[in-house]
Amino acid sequence: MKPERLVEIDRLTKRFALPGPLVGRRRTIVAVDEVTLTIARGETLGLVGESGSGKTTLGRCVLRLTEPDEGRVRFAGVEVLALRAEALRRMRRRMQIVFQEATLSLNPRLRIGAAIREPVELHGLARGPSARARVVELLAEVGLDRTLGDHYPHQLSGGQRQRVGIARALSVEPEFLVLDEPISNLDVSLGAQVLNLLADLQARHGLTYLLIAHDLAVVRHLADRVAVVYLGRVVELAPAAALYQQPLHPYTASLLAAASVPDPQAARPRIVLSGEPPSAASPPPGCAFQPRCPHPKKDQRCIAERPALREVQPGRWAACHYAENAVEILRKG
Amino acid sequence: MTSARIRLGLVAVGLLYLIALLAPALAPYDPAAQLDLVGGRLLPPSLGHPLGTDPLSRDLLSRLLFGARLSLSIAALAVAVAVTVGTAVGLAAGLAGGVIDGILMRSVDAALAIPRVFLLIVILALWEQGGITALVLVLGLTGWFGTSRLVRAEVLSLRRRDFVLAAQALGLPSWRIALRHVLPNAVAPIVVSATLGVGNTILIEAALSFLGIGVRPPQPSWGNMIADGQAFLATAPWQAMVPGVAVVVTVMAFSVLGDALRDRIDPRTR
Amino acid sequence: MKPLLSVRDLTTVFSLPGGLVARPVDGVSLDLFPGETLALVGESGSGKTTLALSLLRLIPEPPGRIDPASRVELDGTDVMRLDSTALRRVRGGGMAIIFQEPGSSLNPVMTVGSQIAETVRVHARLDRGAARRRTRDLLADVGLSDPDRRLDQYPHELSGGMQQRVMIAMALAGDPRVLIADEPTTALDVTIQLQILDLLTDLKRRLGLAVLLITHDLGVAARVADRVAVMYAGRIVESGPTARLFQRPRHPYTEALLLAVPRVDRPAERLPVVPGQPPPATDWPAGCRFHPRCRHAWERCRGAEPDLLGTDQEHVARCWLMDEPGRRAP
Repeated sequence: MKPERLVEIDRLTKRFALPGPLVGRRRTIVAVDEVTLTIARGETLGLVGESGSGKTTLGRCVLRLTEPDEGRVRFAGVEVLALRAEALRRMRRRMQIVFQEATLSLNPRLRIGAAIREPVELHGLARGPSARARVVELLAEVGLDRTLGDHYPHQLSGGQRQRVGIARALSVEPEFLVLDEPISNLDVSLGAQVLNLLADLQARHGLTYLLIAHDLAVVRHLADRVAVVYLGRVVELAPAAALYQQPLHPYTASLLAAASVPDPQAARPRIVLSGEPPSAASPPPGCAFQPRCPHPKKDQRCIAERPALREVQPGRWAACHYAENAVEILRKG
Repeated sequence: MTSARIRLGLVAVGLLYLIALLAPALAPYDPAAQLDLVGGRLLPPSLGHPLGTDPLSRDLLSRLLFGARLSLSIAALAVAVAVTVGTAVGLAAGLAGGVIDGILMRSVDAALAIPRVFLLIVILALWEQGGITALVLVLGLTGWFGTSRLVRAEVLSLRRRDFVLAAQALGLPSWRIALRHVLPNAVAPIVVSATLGVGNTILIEAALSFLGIGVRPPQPSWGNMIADGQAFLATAPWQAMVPGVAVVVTVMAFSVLGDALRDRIDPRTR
Repeated sequence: MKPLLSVRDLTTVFSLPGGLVARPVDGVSLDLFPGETLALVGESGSGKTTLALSLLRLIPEPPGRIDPASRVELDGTDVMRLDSTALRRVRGGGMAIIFQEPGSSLNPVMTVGSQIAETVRVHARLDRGAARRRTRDLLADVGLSDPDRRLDQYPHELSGGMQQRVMIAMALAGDPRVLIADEPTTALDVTIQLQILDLLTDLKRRLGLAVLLITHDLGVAARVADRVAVMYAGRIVESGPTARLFQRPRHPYTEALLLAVPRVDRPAERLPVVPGQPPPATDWPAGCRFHPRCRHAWERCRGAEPDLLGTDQEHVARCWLMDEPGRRAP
C-alpha cells in the first residue's frame, strides 16, 4: 500500500528584497527557488544545507510562518496557502515547529507550565486541571521533572529549554513536525539525548518530520530520505543510506568529505572546495555550484545551462549534468 | 550604581505620594481658611505657621500639602490616560502594520508638530467650566504621542522575535499574542515613559496654573501659589519660592527615577 | 625536546554574587611542543575557553583571579610573573589567540588593513608604509584573494570565512610562536571549516608554530591534531596521541563522548548517552569528578580523585581503571 503523501510542496518560491537604492531596481535574492518535495506520513525527510541555502526559510514557508511568493503547499490534501485566517489557525494544530534557539522561542515572562498549557487550552483540548495534568504528562514525555513547570525559561539549562520547545510543539497533538536545527546549539552528550528523544517520540506518536540541519551526521541519524539544498535549490534527493554511500551530486560529496568524523583514520576522499559560498544576490550563471565544483567533468555546459533536478536512477534525483559520472568525484584525492 | 538611584527615586516618589495622601491629616489648618485678615497676612515662618501665611492669611504649609495632593493626583491620572491611549495606539500600529500603521503614525506626527502648551492653553481657556476633570483629560489626551511611538518601536522589534513566531506557529489567536506575548514584553519603555511623564506633567500643570488656566483659585496648586506670590518677591520672597522649590524637588525625584529605570533597561535591550 | 609552552597547575577562580566561588580551571597542566597541534577537547562548562584566556592573563580581575601558584612558561619565561609591559609584548608577540566569532572580534569601523597594521606596528618598529606592505603579505599568507583590495575593506564586506582569515592574519602579525585557536571554525559552514583547518595546518608547517586548538568538535580534533587533551570539570582527564586516543580511549568520559556523536559514516542506531549533566563549576563532585555519571564507578572513585595515570607516558587518563582494569563494568 502506498504511504499517504502528507506534505506536498510544489514549486515553492520565496524572494526577499534587499535594502537598496530608493530609485532604480531593487535587488532581490531568491531564498527558495521552485522547490518541489513530498513527505510521506511517518517519514523523516532530512533537509541539509549550509548557511544561505534557504533551508530555514523553506521550513517556515511550509508552515506558512513566512508567506511564499509562488507555489503550493498541500497538507493531507488541503491547500495550506489558500486557507483563511481562522482555518489556518486550526490547521496549525496539525503541523508544528521546534526552533533552533529554544531560548529565543520561549516567552521570557511566561512560566514553562503556562507556556505549554496555553496552546492546549486555546485549541480547546483541555481546561483547568486536565490541562495542568496534560502539561505534567508532556514534561514527563520529554524527560523533564514536573517541578520545572513553575520555572521561567532563564532558570533552565539550554538542553532543558530545547526539550520544553519540543513539549510545547507536541502539546497540540500534531501530525507533522518541522525540526529546525534541533541540536546544533547543544553539546554532544545533550544533543545525543535529544536525538534519541526525537526518535522515540516519532515511533510512539507516528510523527512525520522535516529535519532541517547543516550537519549531515545528525540528519543521517533520523532521516529516511535526504534532500540537499544549495542556494535555494534542491540539488540532490535520495534515500538516506544510498546518499551517504554514493552521492550523485558533487556538492553532496563535498559536504560528506568535510563532515566532522571523530576518527583520524577515517578513509575519505579529500575534497576541499575553493572560493567562497555564492552570493544569493548575484548567483552564478548556469549551475549555481559550478564556480566551486570539483567534478572532473565540469565544462562549459555547466555555465551555460542550469541543470534540472532529474531522476538519475530510480528514486535518486540530482541536479547535475554529470551525475552519472559521480563515482569519479569520489576517486579524487 | 543604577539600582541605588532606582531605590533613591522610589523612596522619594513614594514619600511624595504618601505626603499627598496624608495631606488632610498632616495639614494643621484648612487650606481655604482665611485665618486672620487683619494681622495674619504674609506672616513669616513661625511655630504656629511653619511656612508662614499667604496674602489672604491662609496657612502656607497646609496649602502646600493640599497643593501637592492635587498636583500629584492630576499628574498621575493624566499620565494614566496618556499611557493607556499611547500604548493602545502603539500596539495597534505596530501589530497591524501597513495602511493602519501609516495612518496612525502620520496622525501622531501631525499632532506632535503642534506645540503642546499652546494647544493646552487654547483648549483650557475656551473650556472654562471644565475644572479638574477637563485638566486631566486634556493633559492626558495631548500627552500620549511620544509613548505611542516608543511602544510601536518596541512592538516592531518584538514581532520578529522567535517566541512571537512560535506563538503564531502554535495557532494562538492574534489578540492573545498581542496581549499575552507582545505587550508584557513591551512594558519596560512604557514604565520609563510614564515615570518621566509624571514629572513633566507636574511641570506643565504648574505652568498652566501659574497662568491661571490650570487649577483655579481658591484651590491651591503650586502653580497658582507661585502666581500669588509673584507680587511679593521683594517683601515676602518665600511665598513664591516655597512652592517653586516644591515643584523642582518633585520633578527631580521623578526624573531621577525615570532616568535610572531607563538606564537599567537600555543595556539589556540593546 | 623541550616544550615551547609549559603549563603547570593553572587554576582560575571566579567570585560570584552570593558568595559562590567557581573554579572553571582547576589545576590544569599541559605541554605544547614546537610544530605540533594539540587539541583541547571539551563540552561547554568544561573550562576550555577560560583556560585559553588565562594563558594570556585576559581574565578580568575581579571577579576572576588566576591562582598565584599557576605557572605558564613560554620558552622558559613565566607569563604569570611578567609586568604589564612585558605581558603586552607576549600578547600577540609570543602567543596570539583567535576567537570563535570573527564578526565580533573585528572592529566594524576600522578597515581590515588598518586593524592588522596596528598590531604589526605595536610589535615591530615599522613605519606606515612598511606596516602596510607587511599587512598585505599577511593577507596573502592567509589565502585571501586580491589582498590589495582587502586592505581597504571593512569587516562587514567580507564573508565569515574571510573574516576568520583576517583574524588569523591579525594573530600572526606579531610573529607569535604559539597560536591559540578557540573554536575557530564553529561558527563557519562545514565546507569553509575545512578550508580554515587546512590553512592552520599549512601555516603551522610553514611558520613553525605550535597550535593549541580548542574545540568541542571531536571531528575537528581528529582531522588536524597531533595530540589530544580532553577536559572535564576543570581538569584534563585524558591526553595522548590522536590516533591512539580515538582508537582506544582510556577515560570513560572520552569513551562516552565518542559514542554519543552521530556519524556520517555509521548507519543510524540509538546513541548511547551519558546520563545526567555536567556538574556546575561552583560545586565539583568529591573524588573523581566524573564518578556520578560513570557506569564503572566504585567506592574508590567516590573517595579520591586520581592523578593522570598510565604505564605509557604518552597516553594517560585520570581514572582508577588505569590502576584496576578489572573493575571495568561489562
